[in-house]
Amino acid sequence: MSAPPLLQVADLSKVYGNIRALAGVSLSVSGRAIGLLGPNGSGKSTLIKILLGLIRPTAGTAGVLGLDSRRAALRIRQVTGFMPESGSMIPRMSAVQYVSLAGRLVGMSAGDALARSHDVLGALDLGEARYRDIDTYSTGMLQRVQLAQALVHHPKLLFLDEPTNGLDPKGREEMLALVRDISTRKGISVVLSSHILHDVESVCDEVVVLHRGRLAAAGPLDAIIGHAEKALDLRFRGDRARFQAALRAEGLAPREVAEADRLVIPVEDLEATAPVLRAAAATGTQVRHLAPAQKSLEDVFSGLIEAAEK
Amino acid sequence: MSALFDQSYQPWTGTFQPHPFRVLAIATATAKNIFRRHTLALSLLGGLTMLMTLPGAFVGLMISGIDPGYIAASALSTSLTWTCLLVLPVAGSGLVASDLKHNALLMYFSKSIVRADYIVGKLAAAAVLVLLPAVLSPLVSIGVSTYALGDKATAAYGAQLSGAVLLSVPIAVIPAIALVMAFSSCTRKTFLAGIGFAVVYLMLEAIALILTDAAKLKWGYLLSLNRNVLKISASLMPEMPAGGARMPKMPGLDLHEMMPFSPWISLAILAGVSVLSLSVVVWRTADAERRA
Repeated sequence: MSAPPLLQVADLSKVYGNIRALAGVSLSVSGRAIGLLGPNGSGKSTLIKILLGLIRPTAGTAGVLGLDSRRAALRIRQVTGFMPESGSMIPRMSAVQYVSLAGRLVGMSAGDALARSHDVLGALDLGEARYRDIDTYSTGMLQRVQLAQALVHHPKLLFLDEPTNGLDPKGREEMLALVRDISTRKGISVVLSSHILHDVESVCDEVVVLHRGRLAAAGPLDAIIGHAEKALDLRFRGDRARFQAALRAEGLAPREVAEADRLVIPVEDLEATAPVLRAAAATGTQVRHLAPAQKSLEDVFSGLIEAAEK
Repeated sequence: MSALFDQSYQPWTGTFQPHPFRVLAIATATAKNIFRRHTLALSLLGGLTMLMTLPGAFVGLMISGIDPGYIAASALSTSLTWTCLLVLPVAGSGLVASDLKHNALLMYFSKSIVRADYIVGKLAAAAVLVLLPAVLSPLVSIGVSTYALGDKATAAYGAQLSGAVLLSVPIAVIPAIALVMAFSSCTRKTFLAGIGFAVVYLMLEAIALILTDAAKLKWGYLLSLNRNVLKISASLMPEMPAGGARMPKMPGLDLHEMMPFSPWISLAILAGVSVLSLSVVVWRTADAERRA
């Protein structure tokens, strides 16, 4: 029997007053690391809360690891971990006490929760700081404690809501390295909700894109990037204006980018470079680099959002 | 950075405990945390509450022959007043407000608990901190006054009175904590919750006093937490045994005559206050969670 999908959502809607947070979202995803991507207010946090059974949907169904989020919410929260977006804490409580409490709230015994909180905080590099009150922690340390409280019972699936929020670039990379490690080496699947494309791109292999409460795209990261516009990345030396005119004369539509010696040329066939080389020869332009353009998720995301808005 | 690359990390493979242990975890963690944050204040105010009650016991000791039942009732009332005015605002004002302020609600509710577990755990935590000062001084007063009478029959009577007090104090403490929790769930500023609760408590006691003593309206006592508890307590207290009494009656101090309605009405009022207050907590926490 095949394993149930990590997340399964059918025709899911959520309305708050006259605000529609989710509108008929349907998806079924499995994978090691799933990116939940969308601008602020796109419905990511609402979707996570419905999946965890924290709020009830207005319509539709949601399931996690084959468990129904309405009927088996407590069981879902036992097999998943959740790292909330906002830095939550209990003042005058040490990290060990805080993580241990989180373990006991899932159902671990006091002894197990205490031992495990030491293990997890140690593994997350909090060292002796684990005995300090968490209200004295830096943002980065607090984020690690949040991760630890979500990991304490070794869940099957970890929900991370904007885990790099408020971190400096170094802290961000460290957090992403941790998340990558959890998903690749520790056997814990990850759902990473973020509006930062780099975070998702560097950790996830599947992506769900939400925009204004609707599903804009879902599927493997490679496939989504692959579906994007095909283009050639061209670096050259020569008269830019003349070269662009020659390219247009060949039926191409070159696009300028920030660098003066670079153009991006959308094409039907990435192998069909002959028109580009003809235009270069005609204008005496030296072609220094010509290769398929590497599309980042950011490019794809912009395209998907534009398409969704149309 | 070593992070999770540390090979000592092992998956946890233990078994989960039954649900009630999670409520116990909330109660113990919260009680420890409150006591840690307010060790000095709680110790001083708890001690002061007990001290305020003891003069009644010494009256019993000095004026030999007063029914220990009256001493118990007086000590219970004094103890509740000071507990509600001094200890409860400190122990209870941060129960929910602190979690709202520091976004801790989402941590709680993302675990395998329901809202009722959270509320019962928080209520139990405050009860642990409040019960000791609330119950100890009436018990000491009963002990002193029955010792002063010094016969076996009165000693047995004192034990029955102690039982009545032990039953009455939780009946008083639960609605009081529920009310302070309701205030606590309406603000992120703990001191506001404490002050709000103390003011409302004092106002109700004052209005009840005016209605019963000045306006001579017998139903007025139903507005007072203390007097409702006293009514319930008085109905639980036995009559003083004839053989053990040197002065079995205190003329003009008949609690049943002062508070003529059924103790069930008092119990229903206190239960109503508790339910209403906890409904506010449910509503406020659900709202805060939705906005988080």
